[in-house]
Amino acid sequence: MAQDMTEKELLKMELDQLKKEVKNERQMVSKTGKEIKEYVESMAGEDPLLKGVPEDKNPFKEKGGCTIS
Amino acid sequence: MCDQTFLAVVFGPCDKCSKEKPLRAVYIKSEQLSYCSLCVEMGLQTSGPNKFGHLAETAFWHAFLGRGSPGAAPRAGDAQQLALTCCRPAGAGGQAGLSLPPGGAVPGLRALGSAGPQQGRGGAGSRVAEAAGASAASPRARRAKELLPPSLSLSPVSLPASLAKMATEGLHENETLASLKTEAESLKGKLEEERAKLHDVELHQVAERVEALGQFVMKTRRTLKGHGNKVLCMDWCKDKRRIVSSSQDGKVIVWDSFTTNKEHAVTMPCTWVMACAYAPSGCAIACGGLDNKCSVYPLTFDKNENMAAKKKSVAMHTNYLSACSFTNSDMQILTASGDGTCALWDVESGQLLQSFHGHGADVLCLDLAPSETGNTFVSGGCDKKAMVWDMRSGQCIQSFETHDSDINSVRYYPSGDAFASGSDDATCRLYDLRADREVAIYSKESIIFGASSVDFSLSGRLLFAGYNDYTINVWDVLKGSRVSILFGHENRVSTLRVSPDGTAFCSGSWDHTLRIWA
Repeated sequence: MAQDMTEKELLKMELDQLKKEVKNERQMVSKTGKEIKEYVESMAGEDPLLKGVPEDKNPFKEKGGCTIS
Repeated sequence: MCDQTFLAVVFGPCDKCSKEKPLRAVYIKSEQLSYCSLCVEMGLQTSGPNKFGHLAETAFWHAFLGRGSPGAAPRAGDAQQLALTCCRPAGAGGQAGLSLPPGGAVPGLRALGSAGPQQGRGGAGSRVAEAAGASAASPRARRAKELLPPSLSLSPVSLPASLAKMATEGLHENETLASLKTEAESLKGKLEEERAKLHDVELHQVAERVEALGQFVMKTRRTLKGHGNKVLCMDWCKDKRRIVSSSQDGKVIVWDSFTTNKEHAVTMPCTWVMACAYAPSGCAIACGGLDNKCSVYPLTFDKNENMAAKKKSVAMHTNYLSACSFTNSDMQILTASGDGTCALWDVESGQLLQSFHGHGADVLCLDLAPSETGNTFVSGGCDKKAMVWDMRSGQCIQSFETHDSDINSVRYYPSGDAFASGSDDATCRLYDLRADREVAIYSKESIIFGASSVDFSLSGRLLFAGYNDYTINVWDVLKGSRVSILFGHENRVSTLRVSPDGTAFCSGSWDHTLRIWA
């Protein structure tokens, strides 16, 4: 638990973690950024908060009066 | 044992006889008072222990101050106030009995070692005293001050002689400590170099040709009223309509967001229920907070059944529970705690399946990767780090330390390849997992209050962030610009989640209400 560890133990833990991370594989931002952009563009059509939803289909529309048929 | 949390004055004027004496916390008719030992004796004789409630537990703070035998009297100049949880300490140290609301109620108290390495722990008395003074200006101390009732003022703790002795022994510790620090700094430098090599372009440059967003009209469609105190957390049910929310007064409520009706309500035995989650099946909820536990309540529509009776305690931490989430099924729960760890538990047996160590301070938030992308989750903490973990091995895969203050909220991008974080440093940031770096910062000079909670819209184009200045800012994830600012809450926004089908989002606030926006 972090609350019970001394500063030295915390630093050791951080060091071990950093040693592992330096070896991670990475990709260029131009490639991964492009993939994020493409994901957004592919899903944008179905995003109700982005393109809006017609009032009659919106389950959260203003509560109207009741009609008794 | 009742897990009530209250501030107790340790030395000062007795609430009954007004004499300046060492005081004990007493609970009378739902009011927390401080009586000197004589008045306690008299009260016990006249009214009996039931009237005084919790009296038996009040001796535990003696053990916390580390003076050894209970009954050792505090002196003027000792901690003026302590935030206490009425329960017996689990271990010899006595610290386990202490639970604080997030932010640490008393700056000097954190220096004694309950959490937070930056406050200078376990060492020289003088280091602690200066940390206590320095922390007064820090964001955590500011937040701590906000949490306390205005009449109480905080003062630093003076330490017993035994800790000062540890200071001289600590001198050689400092040599190896320094060499560890330099090694850590050089590794961090190397990591930054490796990451910089891939930083060939900014995200907003990649998105230059993307159409800009038009004007957004989003307003409050429903206001859920019913909590008696600050709303701290909420979660949507997979049916896209039910919501569970928890608050500082210990109440957890399940709402139908379409009709605003309350379907279930349960009162937890502790205050500050900081975490709550809906089970994927919709048949149970999990919640926890200052009780250091995560409990699961099955939801039943049978009016004769008492929800509290079926409660199952699943997780046990040694400090407050800050976040919890079911995994893909009702069978496992992931928790994050003020003790600096995250843990994965089996709901049925309460068994610990995996624990995740790596944060250097309280963990404040977590989010599971969307199911298609595998078994990982991200956590954010008071050590300013966001860490991505492998759930099976318990190893941290990647970590990011670019925020300047506590990370209050983390949320995966819908594709699972990135995540966003919101922090007390008033910025939200986007981290790309495959490029292994921060790729966007969402901030403005005019925004100076911390972001408490973030979530993405369905496509990931919009990032909604709730702030401590009572507003919600809507950011264009790709271009990095703010699209809209939403007003409505009358106190800080503490929690925000987009509904599972993306048709609306819900925000909870310290103004006791939840709002649904669409």
